[in-house]
This record gives sequence, structure tokens and C-alpha cells, in this order.
Amino acid sequence: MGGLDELEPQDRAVVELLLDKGQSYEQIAQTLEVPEERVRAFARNAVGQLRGGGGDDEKPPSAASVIPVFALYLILIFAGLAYFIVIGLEHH
Amino acid sequence: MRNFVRGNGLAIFFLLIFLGCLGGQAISGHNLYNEQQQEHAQLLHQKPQTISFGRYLTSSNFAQAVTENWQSEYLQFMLFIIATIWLVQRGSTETKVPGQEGLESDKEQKVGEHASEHSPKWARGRGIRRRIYSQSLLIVMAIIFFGSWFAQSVSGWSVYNQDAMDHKQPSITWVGYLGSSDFWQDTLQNWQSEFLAVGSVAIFTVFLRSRGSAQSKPVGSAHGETAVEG
Repeated sequence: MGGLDELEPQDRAVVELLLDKGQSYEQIAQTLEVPEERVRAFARNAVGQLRGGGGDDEKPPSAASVIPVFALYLILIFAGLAYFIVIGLEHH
Repeated sequence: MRNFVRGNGLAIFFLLIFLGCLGGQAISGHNLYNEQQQEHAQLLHQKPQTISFGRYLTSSNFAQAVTENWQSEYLQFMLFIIATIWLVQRGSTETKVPGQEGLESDKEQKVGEHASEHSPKWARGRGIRRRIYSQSLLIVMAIIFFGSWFAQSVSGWSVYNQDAMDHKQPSITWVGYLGSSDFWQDTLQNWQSEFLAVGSVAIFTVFLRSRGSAQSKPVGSAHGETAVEG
């Protein structure tokens, strides 16, 4: 669990304005002079970091089972392209 | 096996319907080709030059019909990938939030020193490898787009010259075909529909919902919320 001090300055500012000052996203956007969506993104970042550094330390699920399908798509597409280019060219 | 199918459900589903539709296109295209040959022969009081299904699969007509659609689909995704780096659509699920336009920082993109031990190897590295990997999706889409556009041009050129020969007209060079109305009509009729569809998805997802879809915001999300997916 990270602390407030470990947050990026803009993320920390948003959290402080939200929790300490009780400001709305709209008010914070005006205070920091950034779009409201950006404020929401900062807040999401901050929550992610406070929950444990954004989850980067956790081992993500393996994509090994996707590799055969990924390879099949690439083979199909590039084999198809080569086939159609040869067909187009050989008729001349 | 069950886990494999479940984990790859989307790609397998689209691959199967792609193959089904390609087969259907080949069958109907073959029928249409032979019908046109028969009509043509009737008009000229000649014997129709119909072809077998196997011969149709290796014809320029089939190659052109397939590749003119392929190129426009990959152009659509290629442009969408580029455009969504720099442009946003307020309230859409398909873009980043306003204020995040651009290539973003190394920290946000988790590259170089900000990469984790689970990041792809080329994202952890430096120099040309990281630069290539950073745009690998765009690079592959661009190769497929230009490859299929080239395939469309050479097969379309072949079909065009075959027609010209049948009508006792002079044939043209490949460069000449690239400047022809035939080539640009086939190309632009596909492009215009792709661009309309992409624009529609970008703007429709602001106000419309599809419960449970990853392409839609949660039904109760505010219209102005951007880049939120269900």
C-alpha cells in the first residue's frame, strides 16, 4: 500500500482537493486549469497507486494460449496477400 | 482446450465467420462470373467461356474482389490508430480523455526505466527496438494495408486489361491503371463507408449504450464521461 507522499504531484493535488477541501471534479478542474476528464484520470491514477502501485508488481495472466491464434491470423493474412499479389501479377 | 477456446473466443469467432463469408463470396462470385460470361456470349452469339470453381479461385476477378475490401478495412484501423494518438472525442469509449493527446510520457507508457519485470522485452530496452515495438501495431496494419492495396491494383489492372481485350480496346500500364477511374472508384467506394462507420462508432458511443459490451460505456455512465468501457 503506497502513501500520499509517493503519488505524482498532480495526482496528490487532486486527492487533497477532493478529500481535504471537499471540492468537486469541476471545481478542481478550474483550480488546476485542466479539463475535468484529466482530473478524473489523475484521481483514478492516485487510487490505483494507493491500492498498491498500480498492480505492476502482480504477475499478469499469461498470453501463451493466445500465441497460436495470433500466429494463425498473421500467417493467413500474409499468405493470402502473397497469393493475391501473385495471381494479379501472373495474369500479365 | 475449453480454456483455450474461452480465452480466444473473440478471435476464433471472427476467424470462423471470416472463412465462412470468404467461402460464400467465392461461390457467389463464381456463379456471377459464369452468368456474365453466358450473357456476354448470348449477345455476341458465341460459345460462353465459363470457368471452373478452382479456376475462379485463381482468377484476378476473385483477387480484386477480396483485396479491395481488405485494404479499406486495414486503412480504417491504421488511420484510427494514428488519429486516436492525437485526437479525442469527448464522451466516446473509443478515445483517450481530453488532455491526454499525444504520445504520452515514458512513465505513462511503462517503457524503459518505467517498465516492469513483466513488460515485453522490447519495451524494457532502448533505441531502435523500443521505437519499433512502440509502433508495432501501426507498422503491421500499414504493411497489410499497403500490401492489399497493391494486390488490389495488380489484380484490378489484370481484370481491366482483360475487359479491354474482350472489347478490342488497347491495354494500359499498371501506372496508367493507378490513375484510372476504375481503380479509384473501387478504392473510394470502400473508403467512404469505412470512414463513416468509424466516425459513427466514435460519436454514437457518447449517447448510446449496449449493455455488457466492451465497446460501450456502462448503461448508467454520464454522456460526458470519456474512455470508460463497460
